[in-house]
Amino acid sequence: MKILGRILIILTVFAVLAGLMVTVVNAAGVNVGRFGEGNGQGFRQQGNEQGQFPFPQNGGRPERGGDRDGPRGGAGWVFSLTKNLIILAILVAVIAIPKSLIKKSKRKPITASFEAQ
Amino acid sequence: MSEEITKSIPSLTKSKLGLDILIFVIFLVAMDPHSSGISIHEWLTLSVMAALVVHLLLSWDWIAVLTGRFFKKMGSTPRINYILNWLLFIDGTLLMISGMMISEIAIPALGIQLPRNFAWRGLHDFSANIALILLGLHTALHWSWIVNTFSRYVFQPIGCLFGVDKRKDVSA
Repeated sequence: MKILGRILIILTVFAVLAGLMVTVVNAAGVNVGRFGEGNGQGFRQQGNEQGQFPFPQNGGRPERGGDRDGPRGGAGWVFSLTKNLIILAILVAVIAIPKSLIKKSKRKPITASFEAQ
Repeated sequence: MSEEITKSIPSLTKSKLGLDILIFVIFLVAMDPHSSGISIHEWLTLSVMAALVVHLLLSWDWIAVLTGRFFKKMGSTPRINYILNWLLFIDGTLLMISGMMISEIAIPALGIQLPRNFAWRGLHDFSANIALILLGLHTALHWSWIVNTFSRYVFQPIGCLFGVDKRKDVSA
């Protein structure tokens, strides 16, 4: 029962935040491309006329590079994984190493005083 | 009673470690939808929501204590940690919601039709990049716990298998 209550709290906070985000995005008027709605005089039509945007005929979302439905070949995933891991490693190193050094320097005087005795 | 609690702490720590590794791996896979394919990306990230809820439940006591003490006298590290965790939760929510709004496979497969627009696409990319940075900071702030737990439950048992019996108390 306690766990259920906690799950409910987490989901409620999630729902409140999600509701706020949807409201803000819609209220901000950034909902420019409502594809597949109305009479088709929207952004998709303009894009096709200019020939710059590869919008699908069914009014769907434009694809990036056209390969989102299938796995990418080659070593692209290795590069992406390495890049993400390097970013994480840098952040960890920048914070964890100084933190550890400060901790050690705080401990040293106490150890030194014991050694002196 | 106290013996039960003492026994349950290592298993709880093991569960936390296992779950955190799982979430970390899923995050790395999800960060590159080009490699996994869009359907794996969407289903995997939707299913990780359950793992994230369990992650929060396992840390509930810490969350409850810090929420109660946040506006009282408290050290700077727990305060920064608490704020960072909230930012991670807010960014995670934005990542999930924007992902659902631009979903091509998972959400339509559930019979839900959502209005499509460019804003969510941009927000999804933005929140994913922010999530990577916040996850790095989150990992960094818990680095000593990660090292100690790995040492206790992964490296020491492996060392014991190869005859290296180097026991060290890392329960602190």
